[in-house]
Amino acid sequence: MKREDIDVGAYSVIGDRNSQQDSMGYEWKENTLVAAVCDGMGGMAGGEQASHVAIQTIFGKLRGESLYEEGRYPRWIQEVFVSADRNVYELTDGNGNFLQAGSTGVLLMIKGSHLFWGSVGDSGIYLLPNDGVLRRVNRMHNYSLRLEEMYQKGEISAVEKAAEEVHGEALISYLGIGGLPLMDFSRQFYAMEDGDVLILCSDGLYKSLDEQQIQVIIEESGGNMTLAAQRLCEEAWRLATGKQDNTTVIAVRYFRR
Amino acid sequence: MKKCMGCMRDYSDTYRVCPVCGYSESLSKSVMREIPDAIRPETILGGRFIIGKVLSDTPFAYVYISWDALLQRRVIIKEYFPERYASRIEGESGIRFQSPHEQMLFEKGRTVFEAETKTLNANQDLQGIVHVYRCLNENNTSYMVMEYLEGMSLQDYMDWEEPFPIQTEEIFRQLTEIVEQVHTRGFAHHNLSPDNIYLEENGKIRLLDFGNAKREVYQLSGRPMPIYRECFIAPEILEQKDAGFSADLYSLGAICYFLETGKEPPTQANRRGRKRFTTGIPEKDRMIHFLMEPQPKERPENIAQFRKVYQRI
Repeated sequence: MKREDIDVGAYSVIGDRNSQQDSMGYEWKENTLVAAVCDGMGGMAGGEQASHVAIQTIFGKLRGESLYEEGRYPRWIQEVFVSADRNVYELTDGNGNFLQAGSTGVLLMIKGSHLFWGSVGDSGIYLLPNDGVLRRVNRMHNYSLRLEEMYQKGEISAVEKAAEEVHGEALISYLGIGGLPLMDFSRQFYAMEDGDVLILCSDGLYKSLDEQQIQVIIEESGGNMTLAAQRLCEEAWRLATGKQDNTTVIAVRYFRR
Repeated sequence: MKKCMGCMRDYSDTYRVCPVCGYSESLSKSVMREIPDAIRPETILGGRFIIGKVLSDTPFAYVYISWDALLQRRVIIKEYFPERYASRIEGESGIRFQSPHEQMLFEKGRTVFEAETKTLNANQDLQGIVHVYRCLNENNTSYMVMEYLEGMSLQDYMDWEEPFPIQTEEIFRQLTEIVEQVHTRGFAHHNLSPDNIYLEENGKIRLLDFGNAKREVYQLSGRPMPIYRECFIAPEILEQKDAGFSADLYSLGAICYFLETGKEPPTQANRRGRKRFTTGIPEKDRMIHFLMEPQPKERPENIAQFRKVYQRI
């Protein structure tokens, strides 16, 4: 979908799973594009509900109130993550028991050439500068991150760190944890250049494709973001070495008129 | 395991010949002797693509089957190589030119080839045309990297099966639709023939081998353009005059005749002074003759106008 100076494409595959636990959405409001990908986790229907509620929270807030000026966007991102965390945490089953489900959340807001982003969990935000090299924008809030921090501080040895890495993918912050221990967001805008591409994705993408592969798939889609999102998901599935997880991609390209 | 340079599948070292496609190194050597200017199989392009055997060899370009090692897939690579201006020394990939003037003509044509690559790359959302992934510049020339299609050309299909278990109406409907979409994007095919229409296993058809770059290269050189299927190409293209969208409509008429009869329509030259060729269906004949009017002005200007007359299409 093309509008003003931004082209957006979105795509999802269920992969080799039985259910789709990823949710996503994008909308325009007050000349600002807001896009988000949430990857749910938790048994039975929990993961599906969690990511769905997280997305509902983000776009419910967007529709319900003004965004006001751009300077408040970082604050808006913080607030919406805090609300989503609470709403997912409070999810209950038919008997009133907590679902104990969770969801990641990556979000971006683009107004003109100004980009703001936020992240909780391990979903990905990537930037491919025009004629540049793809790079990951956000950290992964998982046990590996904590191990790395402890190692840097000298609290654990390299051997202890390596031994613990088997649990490295466990999330240490997610929407639904009940009081977010970690949340990353841009405090100032990033000025996008003509042709820059941003990717929001669930981990199904980067667990099957390396950054070089992601980059050429975007580059070879002829500047069409719908095609880029679709190919990223399909190629991740085709090139998966094991069973492919749910995979969701939103691709956004900024161009100067 | 080794990779077959004929079909890009892996096969066991115990075989000397690929058990899937029958390609072998000795076969490769004898083929390469016939086309000495083509790149040797197993040459790596752009640090990523392994060049395989030559699939087609024309005076304008070489087409190779190739392996994309980064994305682990077959691709087709078309190398801009107008043999009039360019040559290779055996064992080298770089191109040599006979004179600075020839090099200048080569470079002019190359610019057009790159522009066509760019146009096709930017229109990959059109499902009916082959997807062109990127342009590579190496060996003093340019390469069009595109999708490998599974299927068969319309020509091969018609040669294969008799009588035609083919939905001619459906093929023609799809073709008309794709040509219309291409025209809507502001470019034309100008090289439509049963060899350049691909039938995929899912029943969809795809157009490949757009002819604009080739045409312009020959126009620049002032020499006649070699044409293989003259009967499918509009007279204004054969005469190297300006051609518009209606040149594709001429080809559609010729392809319609081919679909109905399995035969090539007579060329423009052969039609003179002879009775009108016929499919045996008067309504079809009227349509075909309308599309194949020798004068572009007498033909429908575009698909929309054609539809007005033949609403079922």
